Amino acid sequence: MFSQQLVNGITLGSTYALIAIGYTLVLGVLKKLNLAHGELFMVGTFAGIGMAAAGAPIVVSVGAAFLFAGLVAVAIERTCFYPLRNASFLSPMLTTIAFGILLQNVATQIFGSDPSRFPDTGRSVELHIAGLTISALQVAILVTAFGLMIAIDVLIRHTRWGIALRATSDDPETAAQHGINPSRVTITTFFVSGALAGVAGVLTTLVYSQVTPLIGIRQGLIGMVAMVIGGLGNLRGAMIGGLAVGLLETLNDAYFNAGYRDLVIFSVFFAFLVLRPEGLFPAPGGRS
Amino acid sequence: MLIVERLSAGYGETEVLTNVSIRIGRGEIVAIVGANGAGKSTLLRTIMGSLRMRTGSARFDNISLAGRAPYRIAGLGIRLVPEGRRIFPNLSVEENLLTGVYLGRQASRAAALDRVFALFPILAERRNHQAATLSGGQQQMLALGRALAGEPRLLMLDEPSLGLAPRVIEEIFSTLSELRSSEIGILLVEQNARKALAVADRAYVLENGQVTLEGPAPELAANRAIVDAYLGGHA
Ligand SMILES: Nc1ncnc2c1ncn2[C@@H]1O[C@H](COP(=O)(O)OP(=O)(O)OP(=O)(O)O)[C@@H](O)[C@H]1O
Ligand SMILES: [Mg+2]
Repeated sequence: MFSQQLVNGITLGSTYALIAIGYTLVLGVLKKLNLAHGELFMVGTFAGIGMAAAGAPIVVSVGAAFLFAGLVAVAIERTCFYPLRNASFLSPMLTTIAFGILLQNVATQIFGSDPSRFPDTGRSVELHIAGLTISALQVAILVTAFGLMIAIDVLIRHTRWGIALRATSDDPETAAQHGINPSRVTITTFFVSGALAGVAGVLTTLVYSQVTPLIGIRQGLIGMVAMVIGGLGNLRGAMIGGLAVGLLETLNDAYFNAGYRDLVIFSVFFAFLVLRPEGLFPAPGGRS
Repeated sequence: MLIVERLSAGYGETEVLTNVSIRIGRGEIVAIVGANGAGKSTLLRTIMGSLRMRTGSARFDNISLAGRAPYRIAGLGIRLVPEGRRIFPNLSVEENLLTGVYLGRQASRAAALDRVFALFPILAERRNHQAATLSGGQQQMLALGRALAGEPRLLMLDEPSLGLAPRVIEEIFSTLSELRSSEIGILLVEQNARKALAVADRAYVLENGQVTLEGPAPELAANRAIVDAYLGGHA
């Protein structure tokens, strides 16, 4: 049923949006991509699974993913970006690839390469609303993901931190000359970007059940697709791009062929890059 | 309050400034004039910490600026109105001014904004507009307002009149004259040397990265060589 697919697609897409936001924030401040961003999704997932395995409730798993993935993101900034800030823009990006592979291998050593999952959380309560079947888990995911999206939007638009971040994105030298500490802006931006990806990891894994330490590769690329479709450098665009990719994936699986899922998604990605690289919602003032 | 001694700085292999010494006292307006590429902007950016000083020293109220990050130099009370204005194009007018008081406390931030709005009422009218939509003159007022919002003790301006209509230039310079009565020091870099020397107390002439002349502004304005080189003929 179509409306059921819409709900499923938006749920999935909201987790993609959380990934895409992180790329966009980092891109805004540093004009560079963190190519280990997908691994933050993975790191958050396993932090959550680790907590759950130790008997912690899901809320704690989500919190652990937020914190741990955020801290790993800060470590990426301090080791891959900060020391190479005056090098060619390629150097830090290549370094993040290496860091990402490192993270995959550490996770494999700890959790093995077989799929891991959250311990059975029991049969989730199902709600029937207007002919739709929505699990309580799905509701929790939607509330968490959209809550985080709204929170980040408000933070960026209306707080001192948000102004500092946007000023630094516009012109880092001038922002620093007015008293804004660029390192502090960059570190907090990485933390937020990692924290959101980490939470996305736990939320996704709760619904789609199992993950391996290589999950970050696809999720990282999907987040990039969402960012490009939404419009490079545009935060709300990244959110909408995430939802769009989630819907595309769900509708493809329901009405076409799940085996063609990534073929379809990455064809659309390719088409956007070639035909409309500025995405659906180009950043205002050409910010990119 | 600012004492720069034998300062050298540059980009990569090239040295742009060599042994530059200048000083600015409280309540003083000091002009720096010099041809294109003489190193005027480089000097201001080096004082601000955006460019590393290679040798020499800069002290502000006896605090060394060497090796200090720009945001910490801003914290000492120095502000630069950069060449080309460099307002934050995607921020609103009000948000641009808020970056100017980023270091201040909540209460003083609102008061600082009110003072800037009183100085430039047009900015109050446009407070919620995106800064990129302002005219050149309004953008210069915004850049100046953003710096003043931070209540600097030393204000440095890099060619504030560049590309502006005469009426706007008048407004900017009359604002600077008003600031003279307060306790702040002003370091003014200008291509419009005639205007700069008219408003300044003292001036330096920068040539190829070196100070070649210095003295009271009226004296330099009457100097034959200066008049020929920078004021376009007879004064
Ligand atoms: N970012 C940079 N990288 C390399 N060289 C630079 C850079 N900025 C300026 N220069 C060089 O340094 C010298 C001094 O430039 P600077 O901008 O300080 O001059 P200026 O006196 O401000 O000139 P103008 O009146 O044109 O603003 C010039 O030769 C210029 O080419
Ligand atoms: Mg200049």
